[in-house]
Amino acid sequence: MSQDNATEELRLEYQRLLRWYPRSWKERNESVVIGTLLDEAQEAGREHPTADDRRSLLRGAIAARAVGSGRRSTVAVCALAAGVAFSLFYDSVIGWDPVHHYAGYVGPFTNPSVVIGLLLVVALILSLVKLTGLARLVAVVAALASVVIGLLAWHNSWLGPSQSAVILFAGLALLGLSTKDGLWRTIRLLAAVPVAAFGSDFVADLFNPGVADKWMMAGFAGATLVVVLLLVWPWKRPSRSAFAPGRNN
Amino acid sequence: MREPTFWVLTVLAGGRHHGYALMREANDLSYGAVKLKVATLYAALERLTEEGLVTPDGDEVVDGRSRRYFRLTDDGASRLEDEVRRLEANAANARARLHARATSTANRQVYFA
Repeated sequence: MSQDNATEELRLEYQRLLRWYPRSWKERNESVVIGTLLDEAQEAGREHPTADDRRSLLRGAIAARAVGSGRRSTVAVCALAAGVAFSLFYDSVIGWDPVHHYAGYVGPFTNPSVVIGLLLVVALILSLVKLTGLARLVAVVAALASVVIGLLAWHNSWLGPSQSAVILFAGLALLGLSTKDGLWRTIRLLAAVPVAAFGSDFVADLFNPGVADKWMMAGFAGATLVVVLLLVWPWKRPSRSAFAPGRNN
Repeated sequence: MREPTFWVLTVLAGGRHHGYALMREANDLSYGAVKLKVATLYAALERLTEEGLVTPDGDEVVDGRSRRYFRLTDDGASRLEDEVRRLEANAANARARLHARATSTANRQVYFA
């Protein structure tokens, strides 16, 4: 094999070892890291990555994914903090009953939604210490746990969590994945979650045989859907005109 | 400050370096004690760049291989200065204790002689 072919083969092997790194990291660093690995291999007279190379690159990829962007998002931190606050309220006021053991109870709680609260606390802490990759992973697990616990509660007629609570838990956990910033955007997105939870009651009433005026419920559900869409819509901030009054042109 | 960070800042205090040159010089300056791995080096450089202690200083391609140069920032030099002062203070304390121990051992030997 010629020198060029051997180098190209080694380059491809290193490229494969870097596949576990996040895409954004690879866009920034892949070519220079491969260049450095090739320099090192050439100096040592190696034609293949060592076991040590493989281990350290895998560890590096896991660490890079755990750190994520390493930048806190205002929307994510506020959503997770709101999720923790709601969870504290829910588990201390609604879900707290150390006396009675209802179906689905966990310890002194009437249902397992305390698990969602714990996951939200972990996600918030990880986000605050800038392990944003891990924080996002835990937030996804919290959102999935909300849906699964909600379905189990509905199927097994547990005392809770209600559908509105599930939407609040899952919605705030999903906003924990956001990478966005900005006070106005944070307020809009956080407001959308309780509005969606409120609107879900009208949707539920559409399927409730005890509710006679389905058209009115459909109207309320449609109105809340419009409000939610307006709140989550990615509005573009109008660009400042170069000819705006007061500017020196 | 972790050891890889210390050596990255120390090497860059001597001027701009690309990744592989930085690894080699860290190894030389530490008399072979520090062997930075490529993954560790770039994780440290990425973090130090975010903290504003080092900054990329141009990319170039040599023999088809990309190289990125890094240099120390003023904040990086200041942080390294703090670390050096801390290490010197630790070393001075350790030396004083060793000196005191040697003196007391010598006195005991005189006393029991």
